[in-house]
Amino acid sequence: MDFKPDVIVVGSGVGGSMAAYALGKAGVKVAIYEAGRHYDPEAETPMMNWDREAPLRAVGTPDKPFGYYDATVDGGWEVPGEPYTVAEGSNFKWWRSRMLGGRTNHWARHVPRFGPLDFKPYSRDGRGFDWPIGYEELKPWYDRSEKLMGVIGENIDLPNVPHSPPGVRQPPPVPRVPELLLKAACDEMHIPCTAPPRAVITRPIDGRQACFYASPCERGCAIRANFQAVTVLLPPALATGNVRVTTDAMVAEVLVGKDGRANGIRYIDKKTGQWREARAKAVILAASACETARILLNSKSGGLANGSGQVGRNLTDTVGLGIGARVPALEGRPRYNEDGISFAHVYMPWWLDHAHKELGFPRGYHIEVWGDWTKHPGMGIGWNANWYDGFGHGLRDHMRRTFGSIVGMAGRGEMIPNDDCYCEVDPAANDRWGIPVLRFHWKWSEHELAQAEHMRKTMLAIYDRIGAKLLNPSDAEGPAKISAGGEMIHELGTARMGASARDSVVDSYGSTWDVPGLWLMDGSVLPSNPDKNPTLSIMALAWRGSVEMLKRSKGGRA
Amino acid sequence: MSEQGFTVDRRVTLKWLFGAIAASGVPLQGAYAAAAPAPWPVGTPAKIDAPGYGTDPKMLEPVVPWPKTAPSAVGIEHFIDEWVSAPYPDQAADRAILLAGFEWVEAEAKARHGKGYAALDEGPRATILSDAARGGGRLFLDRMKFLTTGAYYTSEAGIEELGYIGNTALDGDYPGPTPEAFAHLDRVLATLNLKR
Repeated sequence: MDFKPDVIVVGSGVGGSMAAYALGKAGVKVAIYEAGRHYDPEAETPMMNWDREAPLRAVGTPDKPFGYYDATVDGGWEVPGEPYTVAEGSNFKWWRSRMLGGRTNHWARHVPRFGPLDFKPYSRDGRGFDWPIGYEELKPWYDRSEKLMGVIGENIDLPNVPHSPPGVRQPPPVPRVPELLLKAACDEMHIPCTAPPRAVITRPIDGRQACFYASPCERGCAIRANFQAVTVLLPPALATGNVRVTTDAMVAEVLVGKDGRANGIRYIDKKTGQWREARAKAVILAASACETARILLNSKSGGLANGSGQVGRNLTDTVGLGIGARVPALEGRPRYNEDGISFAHVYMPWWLDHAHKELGFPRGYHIEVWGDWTKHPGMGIGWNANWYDGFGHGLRDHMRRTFGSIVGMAGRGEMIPNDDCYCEVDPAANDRWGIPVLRFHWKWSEHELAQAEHMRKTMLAIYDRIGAKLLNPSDAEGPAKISAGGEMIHELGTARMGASARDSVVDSYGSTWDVPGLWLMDGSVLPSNPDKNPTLSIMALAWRGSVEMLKRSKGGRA
Repeated sequence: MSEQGFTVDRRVTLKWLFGAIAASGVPLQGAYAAAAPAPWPVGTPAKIDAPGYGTDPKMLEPVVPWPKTAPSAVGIEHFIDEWVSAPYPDQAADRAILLAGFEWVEAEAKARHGKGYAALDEGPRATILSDAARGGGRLFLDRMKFLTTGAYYTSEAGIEELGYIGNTALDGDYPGPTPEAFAHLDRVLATLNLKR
């Protein structure tokens, strides 16, 4: 059947699928091009499989870095035939998710709203770059996105952690014993500890089943109780009859007509190795922050839509630091079902916005929680054996007693964009189809290093208060073992929005300043990378941008 | 280090090693305390030049190009055999450690008792393991402990032994801790002088 799209969307993650949903529902013909394969979580997810049913007890390998049952297929830190390079002296890892739904198949589903301070970092203290919009402008889109995504959580009174209006977020599950212990310590230490906003539903919506409190979310969800673009956004988008998906389509460049308008894409059909072109009246890139920058940089010498010179610049990621501990007080406790929503039922939002001058670092972090009690026992339980001095029956007693006594904390902090962190096209390296690849440059600044050190000390203080013993004693000494760039899989900022074509790539709706008909709707446009995980904000921006696109198209300007 | 002639007995040896480590009645606590050096084989076993299961394996029906453990069996020795046969870096590192350890254990058994480790009684087996822990075999024994307990406590029998409850769909809201679990928590909090 002849399908003539009005709009081409590159990428089927949260941004691309959101755009397809919004435009498709409005009657616009949308053609999505996804670099990975088709994926159907309802048919493919190993929901209740035990780890022993998988090779190597499901542990991570280079083929499946987050474990055999992780939903990611044909992706990871290394993708065969699709290399990237890292400049000397830099430490950067680039996660790709080559499958329908993109990165929404592998994520923590932690979906805080950005707060008022997060939109105006430069105005706050002269660091970073102000968004052209503030929280109030994005708030209605957060409300709509949370409802459609399906989010649990509770409001807490902190100046930079916005409330969700009544009736939007669903009730969170009650905390479990290890979480209540952490909360008791945090309460005494005046560290807030509350239910996190998570893209998991506890009440059925839109034909989706509520969570049944089993099966790790990272495997995907056959009952559609958590958010994946492929279970929540794409089915209703496809049901409009206005949206088509082409998978295994690796887009290399955006095509521009003689009139200067974006009017198509050039891509490789990965199944046949054939180059193809597709045409439409407008193009939305939502290929992920770095892949979108790569497409722009490969579309034209010097980069398409790059009059500002900002494409590829301002690359940020979340600051990450994890410390695990065993908690003797939790040993030998009564068993009950602790699977819950598979993620932690509590977290600690940043609570010291007022104190950065005294703290000596300018931006905050939140702490996420994990433990060995949120899922059936995996191979990791074997580590417990190594802190028992000996063998025999005593070891078995030790294993029984210590199961469920491991607690972990993961600091996740804001990074301020800096001149040392960016991606560019490597002049000497191509992928298997001859498409030039990205070269990454990375260096944390003193701000992130100081913040990570504060994370470490906070976690140590909490662990100390509950009598916990560090799994890695060297964490007690420091310095903080900060993550590699890209390791938190929150790359943002490579085609930032701004108030002017002089120093930004797109306006607040994602429309490129330089190329009519070319829009960006993924993490590339976010000018700041606060401690809040970005997926909800990408979705809210993509929805807002899609509606603006409709408005402008009616006026003939899209 | 030689692998020739040893692989025949590997599973039998593994079975007895697992028995000694996780199930035996012979207590070996304190074995790590002493640190007398002992000769320990070093070497690099032949690289396993085989493909992995790939980036898009069948998750619901796993197929791997190496001997995979049947999920229905406890099969610790089969699992460790699977582990050291896999063509990935972590498993290759363990392969070097484990094969050196098997060689040492087997050689010690033959030197001391004139027969292989698996043919020994529980007492001599435990002595050899204790001696390994005191010498250069600490890493070997740690990896064996990790692998044998990891394999066992992910098996049906091991999970039951742990008392794990879950991996089953629940109706309604998540119920949270039981009264017994709350009572335990409250005792813990009282000990720590914390409040719920």
